[in-house]
Amino acid sequence: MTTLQKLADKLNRRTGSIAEARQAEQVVDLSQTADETLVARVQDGDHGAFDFLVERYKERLYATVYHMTSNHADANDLVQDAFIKAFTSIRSFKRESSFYTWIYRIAVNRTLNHLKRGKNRQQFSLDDIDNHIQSDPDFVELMSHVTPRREVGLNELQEKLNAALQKLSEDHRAVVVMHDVQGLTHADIGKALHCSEGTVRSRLFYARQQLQGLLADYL
Amino acid sequence: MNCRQTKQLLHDLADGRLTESVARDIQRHVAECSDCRVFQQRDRQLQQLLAVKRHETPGPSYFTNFLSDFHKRLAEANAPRPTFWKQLSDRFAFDPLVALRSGFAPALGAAFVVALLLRGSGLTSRVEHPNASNITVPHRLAAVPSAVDAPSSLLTVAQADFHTPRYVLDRIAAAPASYDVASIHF
Repeated sequence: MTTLQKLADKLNRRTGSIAEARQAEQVVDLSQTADETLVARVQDGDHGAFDFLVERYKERLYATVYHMTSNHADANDLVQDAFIKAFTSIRSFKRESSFYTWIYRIAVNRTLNHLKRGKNRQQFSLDDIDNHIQSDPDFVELMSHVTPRREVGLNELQEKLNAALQKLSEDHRAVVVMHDVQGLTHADIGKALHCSEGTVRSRLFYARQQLQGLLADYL
Repeated sequence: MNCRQTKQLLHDLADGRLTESVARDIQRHVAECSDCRVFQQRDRQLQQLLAVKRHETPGPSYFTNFLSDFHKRLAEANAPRPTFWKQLSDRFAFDPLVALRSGFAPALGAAFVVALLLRGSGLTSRVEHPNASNITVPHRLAAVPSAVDAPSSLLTVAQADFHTPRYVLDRIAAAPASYDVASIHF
């Protein structure tokens, strides 16, 4: 091999390695990737893959925690905490359930602990109500009846509802939020809260009875 | 089917989760029982009211910084914990140099001035005694060995001052002794 050939070969190799490095630097879009693949990547040390899981589930988790706390700032802190907890213990995640079920459980349990320690902020900071409510059949039917609730504004109704929910015990509030607001099944709630379906049903029954009493003026 | 059982199964009836025979029993009970009918109606309205919660949403910019905040908090959570002494000094914001400059030096100066004044006035003198340690007696008594039952060699008199009839008992090793002037007989 002549010196010229050797030089050309060396140049080719260097060009190849530069191309490889550039390829590695490119941001990989994993937004369409399945949870299992993302979790496997995070467990293998690709920490950036966790960002896609955060982006995917932040709003759903926020909604759950917000309905339980009725407070923006608490909800934000608790969801952040849940993601941090999930990230730091992702190696212990055995993939026996879906990632969402796992992090949902973390978020709900952290929220319940937070509420039971009495650390929640006492004042409400409620989210706005979106415009879709005007076309929600449940809401339309509710407002069609002649009752005091027609006289009060939507914001007042929202405040009364949140105040009534906050008067329930943490466990009762959790099942109402998960079942009646978010539409989870009894079985899923039982798994998330580590209790039987019977317990979930019983808590729901008593929570609804209590809510009926608290919101008697608006029913 | 009693009222309690009926009320507990009303939601399952609405969701179509009951067998035909149980569903028929509940419907029959509700048709006959006004209490359960009212309960059912109010429960339906409660579910409609809870629809408000489904439409509560944070503003469009609420999640803009969520990911960057998450990274920030994660970095804080993973940061090494400060040592005990670091935590302590942070808690009390203790900087030895600052403390020396702002507090210690004036205190030292004040102590020095007080010491000078005390030395100048010659208020007290110390007496070495085997039974009564650190007894401070006036110089008038200290000058008299028999008053404290000690050899004169152990008595030290800083200055001769006979104008201060004050006796201070700091600590007495054995039985308490009175150094009241009236109790001392020459």
